[in-house]
Amino acid sequence: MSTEPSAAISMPPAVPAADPPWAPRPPFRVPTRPPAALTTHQDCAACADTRSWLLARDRAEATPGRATDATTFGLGWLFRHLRWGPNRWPFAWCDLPDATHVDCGVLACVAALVLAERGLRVERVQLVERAAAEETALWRARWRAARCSDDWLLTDHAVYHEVLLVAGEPGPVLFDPTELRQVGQGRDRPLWMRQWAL
Amino acid sequence: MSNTPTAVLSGVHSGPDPSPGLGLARSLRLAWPRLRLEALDYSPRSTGLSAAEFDRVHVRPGWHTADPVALCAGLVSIVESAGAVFLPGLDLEAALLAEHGHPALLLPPPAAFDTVARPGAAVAALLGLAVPEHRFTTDVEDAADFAARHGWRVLVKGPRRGTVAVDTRPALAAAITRLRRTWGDAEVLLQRRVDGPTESIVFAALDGDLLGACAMRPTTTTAAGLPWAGSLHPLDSTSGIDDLVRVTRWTGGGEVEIVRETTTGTPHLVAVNPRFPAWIHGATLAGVNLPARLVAAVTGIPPHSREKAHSTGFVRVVEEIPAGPHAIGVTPQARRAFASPDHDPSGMPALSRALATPRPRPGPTELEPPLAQDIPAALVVDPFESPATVFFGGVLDRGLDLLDGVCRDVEDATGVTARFAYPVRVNPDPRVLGAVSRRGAMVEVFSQAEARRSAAAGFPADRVALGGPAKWWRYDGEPVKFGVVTCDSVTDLERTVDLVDRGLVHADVLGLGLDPASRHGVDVTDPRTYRRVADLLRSAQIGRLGLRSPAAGPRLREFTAAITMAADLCARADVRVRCVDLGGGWLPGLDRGDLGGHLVRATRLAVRELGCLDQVLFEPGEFLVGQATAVFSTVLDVRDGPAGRAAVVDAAELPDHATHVLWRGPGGRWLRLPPGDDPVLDRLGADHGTRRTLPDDLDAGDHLLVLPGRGHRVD
Ligand SMILES: [Zn+2]
Repeated sequence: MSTEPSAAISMPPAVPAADPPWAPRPPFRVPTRPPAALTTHQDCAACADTRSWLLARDRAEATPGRATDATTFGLGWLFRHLRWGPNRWPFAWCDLPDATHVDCGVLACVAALVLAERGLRVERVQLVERAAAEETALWRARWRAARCSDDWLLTDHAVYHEVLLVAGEPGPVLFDPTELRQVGQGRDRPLWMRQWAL
Repeated sequence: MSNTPTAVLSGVHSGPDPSPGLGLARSLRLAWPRLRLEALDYSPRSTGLSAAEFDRVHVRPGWHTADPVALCAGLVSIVESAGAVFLPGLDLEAALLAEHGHPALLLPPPAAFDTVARPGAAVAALLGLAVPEHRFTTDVEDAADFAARHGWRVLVKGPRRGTVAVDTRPALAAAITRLRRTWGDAEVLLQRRVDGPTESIVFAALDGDLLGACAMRPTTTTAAGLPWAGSLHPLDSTSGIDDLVRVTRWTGGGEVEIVRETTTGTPHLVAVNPRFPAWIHGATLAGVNLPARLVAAVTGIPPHSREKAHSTGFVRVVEEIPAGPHAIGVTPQARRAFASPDHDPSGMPALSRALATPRPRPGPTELEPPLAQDIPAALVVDPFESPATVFFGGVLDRGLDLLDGVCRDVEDATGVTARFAYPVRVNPDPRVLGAVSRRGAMVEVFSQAEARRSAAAGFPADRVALGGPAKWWRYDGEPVKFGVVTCDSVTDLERTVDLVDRGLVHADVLGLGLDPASRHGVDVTDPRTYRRVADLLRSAQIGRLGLRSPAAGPRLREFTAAITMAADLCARADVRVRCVDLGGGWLPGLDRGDLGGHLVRATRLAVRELGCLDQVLFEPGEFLVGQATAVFSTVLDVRDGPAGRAAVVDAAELPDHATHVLWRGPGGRWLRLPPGDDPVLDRLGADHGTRRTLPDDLDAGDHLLVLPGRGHRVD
């Protein structure tokens, strides 16, 4: 994977100044690291088996209707095996079968591999999204209880998130594999985003 | 000439399954705020009669109390005296009124009703839609046969009204009885159930000219599947609807209901309704006021307000309104009254029963050849001891012939050797095992005891397939040999591999039972299981590997998924799969072509994923022996009651939902009892769901031979 941000950004970054002046947001530090990547151990049968399972599992779920589903991309089956939550990094492919929870970075890696195998053009996208203070407090406690880094919670109102840009008809779709939906517009529009060629 | 029209609308009930009258009233009111509206319905319980939209209401006598033709004449005179146009909201009333051909009644001509009648093949052809596989029948057996062919995913419909989804045999029998009782038609329509998102097209036409159309996709539905909210869409092309209204010279509103099958994407026709749908006002709110276009076209009075799109979708809300004077004196009604079609406040079931042609009571019929020869062969001693279980060797032989033929068909079509293994547990009668053994077929056993019983019946070890969770229960540790040993859990596989490694068990084929949908099988869709199985296959010395995954009927999709996963797994472990067992669950009633076709499809799928195979196996149990036994009994009593006749026989237990009931009077020959509603009860008075028309001369002392029902459901 290239670690260079690609030039084309499909959606202009939203300007936080759209917020009303009486609700000031503390500024967040723009993330500098590249999107998350799963480790592949050398000569590890478990790593290879897990990747093979993932692609076979997706082939086994193929339905004719899946090709036209730009909402979930037919990835609902992922959540029969994976649940969103804190995981430690680095994270290897062979950690996946026994992981109780995986974060949006793992889900983005996994979904990108599956969709690319289907022949779709996929790029990784990093976002900063709005969140409510009640949510960030809950997530911070959850990540700390699992002894995982909570540096993705940038402020009480802004969180780091990873999604995919999937090329399709009629145009590219900004797809969130963690929530199995397109990334929101309007009020839910990301505060910041950066795109990476895969 | 008045510059506002007057309209009479029938069917104004607003409930969980509403009629369109109130929606039509609102749409017309939007176009002409001062138009005169009269509501007409057949019970004071019709809630829309209290709506403020109506200037006058007519509560007509119920259909059960009056002559339908006289009721129609009365309706025409109401419309004529008001100088109104009439828009129908009730299907059957519309069909009846169409015979009048009155210009103020905005209805399709009578021939159009025949064109759109269920299942609507001609309409589907015009619209480029598929029609789900279907069959008309009066007989529960015939219906069960159809259901078995479609994996027990079927709809039972009245020829005019009523739809019930069924997936079991008792539900099928109950649905047919209920549809008959409610709507009065002897015949029912069975259709394969098509699963997928639904949509509707609404249209309006005057004398064959299309006035407009649009499509609706429900976004929320009720428990009964009716739209409660929806989004409106323009049609991609109106050419199909254009043709439909032109060919039928359609006048009035209409609705085409469509379901798009999830697995194939093919649109299928569900129904065509000769009236506007209940959600018609949703289309009006989206800017397409079809009721107003229709009334304007027929009266020549242009709408006072233009069509306006308020939204691209609609939602329903529930609203309490003051009850009108006619609704004040209505007595409280039993709980859940509106849930049952018998309590439809517009009385459609009563009208349907009045319109249905009465059916003569059928008499017993002669037996067709194979059965006519099986019976004397089975009942060698006459008079027979009663009650008794009799065995039809002829039925079993014909079943084995069919299976031999199916195996040849599969081999011819796929190049893969096909064999079958009879599951001993279904009927371990030595006569059955002997017949199977003589054909050179295999047996499937689930325990060491069944294995010994099979050996005693003459099966050599290489024709015995061992499976099931208790296969090593009471295994004595002596060396044993099997044709196939199928493991259905990872621990089972570990234990069996250990027994093979220690030289105690020899298996020509070591099988891996896959069954993601149940606990009886290894779920390779789970990543942990996938890993464990991959490791086991890499470390064990497996001579010939087999896979077992049930492929019968609706399970073909799961089969495909399981085989896809397993193919990948075995390739990774560098083990080649030599055999595939397609499992059991093959229902009696499939003919050679159906069963063979299904096995060929499954075999081709397996070969596509796994490469060439040595052998495919399948396990016909009920399929082979389900019809090979019958209960011979003597009639103890024939009871006549207000609900009809019932026979009581001396058997303590009868087969559920018998396929055939044969009757023999004193000195007579065996005759088949025709379908009907009279129960045959065992001597404990228990009802096993068997219904026939009992002949008038049936008497105590007569003999009945009850042949068992076909499998109740796909397991
Ligand atoms: Zn590894």
